[in-house]
Amino acid sequence: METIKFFFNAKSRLLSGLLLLLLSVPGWLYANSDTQTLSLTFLIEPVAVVKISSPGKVVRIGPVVPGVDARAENLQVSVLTNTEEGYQVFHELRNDITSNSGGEFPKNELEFAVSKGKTGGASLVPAARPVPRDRIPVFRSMGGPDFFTIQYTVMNKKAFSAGSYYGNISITLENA
Amino acid sequence: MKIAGLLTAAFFAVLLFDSSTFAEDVLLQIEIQPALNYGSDHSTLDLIFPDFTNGAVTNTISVNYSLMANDVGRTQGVISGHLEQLLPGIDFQANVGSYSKLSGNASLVPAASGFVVVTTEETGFADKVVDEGDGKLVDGTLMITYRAVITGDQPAGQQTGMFTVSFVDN
Repeated sequence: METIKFFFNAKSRLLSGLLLLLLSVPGWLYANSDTQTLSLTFLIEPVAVVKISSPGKVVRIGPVVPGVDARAENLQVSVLTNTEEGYQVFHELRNDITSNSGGEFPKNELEFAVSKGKTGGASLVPAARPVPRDRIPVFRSMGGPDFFTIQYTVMNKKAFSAGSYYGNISITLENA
Repeated sequence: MKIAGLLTAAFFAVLLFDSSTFAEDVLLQIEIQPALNYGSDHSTLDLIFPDFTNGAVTNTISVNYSLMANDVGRTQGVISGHLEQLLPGIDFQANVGSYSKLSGNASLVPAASGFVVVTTEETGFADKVVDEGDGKLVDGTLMITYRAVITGDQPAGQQTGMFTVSFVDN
């Protein structure tokens, strides 16, 4: 908590315009000063925020040529917090990955892995594994801001129907 | 005091707004390019007539075609063939056999049953049937058996022709 004092001299401005007039009035009307003190309270709430640094909050993989090679793309994730409280970051694929024509991207063909944090957070998915539909913890920190990367890879072991496939991912932070 | 109250309210409003962004939604987009791969286990067909009389039939040769395409919109004549030029007095014939599906969501079926005569016109050998989904992914092998039949007496000797088989997705 901090206290800031403001000094007001509201009457002085008014009195400067009436100076000539006041020269001839009794002394009890001469300029004086007044002081008021306002108490301001700043409350900084404990906040932990997860931010996606990747432009547009989009992970674009491809174009993938079937049977040729795997393609990967990174998602940069930042955690901003002003507390030392531990937290976990969760990952959820909120719907099946499907194309505009209704084709479903083969399960298990999209894998992901999570890097460890730059300031000490631990990856809970250190090795590549298929992206599950479920909401699962992927990153854990004992507290403080951190930065990590989620790498998504299309394994390209099978043939896929040509087209654009879309899915929605949710990244959430929960205090431990 | 009013000013102080407004400032405090605004400050907490910002805090509340900020603390609600502990979740982020990300759009995932995967782009798969159209592709078509095709191969066969034969590059030449050696067909031998047992005699030169009308109706004589050669040996048969079965060719296995490996097929993979991920944007097969066409349904008829996905596999077709034609001769570069007709062989006088000889019918070149093809018989489409079974399709072995390796993966994908579509299969191939013969466009006609039994042996069909191949001419210089494009002849449909196999059509596509959708198994599920968008049915554009074909991945498997198809066997086609070839033979030739004499339609008029032939002199002894050797004839050579060019035969083209096509795998077309759209």
